[in-house]
Amino acid sequence: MIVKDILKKIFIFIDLENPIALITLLTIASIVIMVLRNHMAIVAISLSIITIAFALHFKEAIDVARFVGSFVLIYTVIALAIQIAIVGYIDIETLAINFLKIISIAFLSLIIIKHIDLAKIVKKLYRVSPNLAIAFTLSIKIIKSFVELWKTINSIYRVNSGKGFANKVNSLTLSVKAFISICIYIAIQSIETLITRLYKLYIENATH
Amino acid sequence: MNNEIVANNLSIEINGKRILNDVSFKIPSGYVVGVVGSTGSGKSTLLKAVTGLIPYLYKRFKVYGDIRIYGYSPIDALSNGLIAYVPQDPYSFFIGSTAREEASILDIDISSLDIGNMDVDKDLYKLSDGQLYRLLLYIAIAKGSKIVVLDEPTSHIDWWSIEDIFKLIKSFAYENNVTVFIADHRIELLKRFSDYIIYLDDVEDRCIVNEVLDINREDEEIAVLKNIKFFYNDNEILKDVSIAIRRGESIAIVGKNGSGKTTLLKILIGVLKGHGYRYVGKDVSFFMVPQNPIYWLPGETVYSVIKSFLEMFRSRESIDSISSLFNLDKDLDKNVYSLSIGKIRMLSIALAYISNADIVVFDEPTLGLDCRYKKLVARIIRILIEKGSSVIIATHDRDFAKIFKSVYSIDGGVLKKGIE
Repeated sequence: MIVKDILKKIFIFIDLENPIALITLLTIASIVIMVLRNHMAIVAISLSIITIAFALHFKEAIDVARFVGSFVLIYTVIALAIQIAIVGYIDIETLAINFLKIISIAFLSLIIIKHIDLAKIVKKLYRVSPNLAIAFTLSIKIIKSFVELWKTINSIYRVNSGKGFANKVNSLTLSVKAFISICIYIAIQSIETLITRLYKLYIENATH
Repeated sequence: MNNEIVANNLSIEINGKRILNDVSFKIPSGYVVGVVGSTGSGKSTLLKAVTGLIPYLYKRFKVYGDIRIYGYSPIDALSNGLIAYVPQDPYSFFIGSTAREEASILDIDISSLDIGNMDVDKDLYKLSDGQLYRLLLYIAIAKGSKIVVLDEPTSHIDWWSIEDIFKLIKSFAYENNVTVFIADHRIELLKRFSDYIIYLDDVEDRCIVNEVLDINREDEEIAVLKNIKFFYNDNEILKDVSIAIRRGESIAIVGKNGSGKTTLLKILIGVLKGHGYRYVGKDVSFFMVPQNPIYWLPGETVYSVIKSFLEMFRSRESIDSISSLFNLDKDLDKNVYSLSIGKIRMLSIALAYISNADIVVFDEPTLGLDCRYKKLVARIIRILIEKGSSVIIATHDRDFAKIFKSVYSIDGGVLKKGIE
């Protein structure tokens, strides 16, 4: 608790009540991570982001780490294969830096999205465009459930996979496919209900 | 404005295959309407035609005949905000994560909703079933809906809360002059609470499953939990739970939502860790079918999914024999996500059968199933235990639980033998 308070005081720009500040922070941090070429700076930024995430919400961060870890692992394996195929050798440094960049962005996004005040943002977006507000809300809603969903799918496949390394890999592939399909399914179900509830609004908006 | 919902010879087909055939009805406002039919009979399709989602969103469906909602075509009724659709997963109805957030997003004054003393800042997933349905009904009419369409509500409602929720729906319809369509497998319940019933085929009214599941091949204990405790956010979810599973045994655990039955199953299969003694025999394998069977399947054809699992478990069964045994032979080329919830559950159970696991765990295996499929599930469980697997289920369905050899009830994290 003390650590959390100290961090909140140090990083006063992380205003959990102010979504605009959070989005600004996310955007700046993402740009810095994407553009920056200084390796030591990237390591420092990544470590501080991950530390903040863990210090503020330890349990959530563990779940996020598992979720992000699984996908980054797949990315790293693919990147490794591409490096070997194209360059002919493994560039550990580039691989590690990109790994840290992705981890940092994923952590930032997921932790911040978890603490966005959706109602406030939607109200602000409504003034710009109701459709944009709905699309944004739906995206946030689905992203919010990513971690929990992946945890569920992954745990089921860990139990239900056959023995042996090949089956474990096969299970991981199936669980990633399932994760993508379920996200689409949830989106379709939400769209069905949103259409019936908000079609009137859509028509009014389109005709004015 | 004409306050009736009228369909004349409504037929719907997709890719040349007829799903609904000559359905006609005339329903005044303020009625509760039950839509009854066996698994895959087209209940959801009819609801989507009433809401206008077919053909507005699903353009490949062809609609014949005529349907009028308060004098409008379904799409016009949709554009006039007359309809609210609640899909099989009721949480998909909401945009926000709390009642206050939802009202705020939709620009509704939360204090104007007749939702009693509900904690409006509570996560929607933590509301009771009754609170959840009250909230969604009143939010629907706050936005001007005159027709509320519920797809399989009992597949998410606790057995103990079903009566109260149907009473709520009935009084809500009368008091607000709102028509509520409910498609569900609980035919007896629909008959009691509906003012009008649309039958889509000849489905059995009463369901009596007579399968005998008390075959006990051996007395060998293959998994044991002793004095298990489990805490979540300082709440004690399981209190000194002990249970032993013998090879070939069938076990049913009956309990309300939140009573701890799913947690118990997760500790048994090793997904969660509790405090206490857990023993699992050497090389004992598990297979788990979760409560919402679609939330783990890849979006491939039924054929591909069965094939993947046959290969993974090196099964000698053929795709044809599996699809025939589980009534999936006509669905092999369909995407898993286009199946009805009942068919998806059958596919999940088929995969459990293929796994040949020592302990097969089903969380709510009968949700969303009609009587024919419930009987089939009972038959498959018998085949599994005859093959030497142990089967353990968590269920709300007390009648289905009674056919199991060992029946436990769980309440407030305390497990007891027998049903209270």
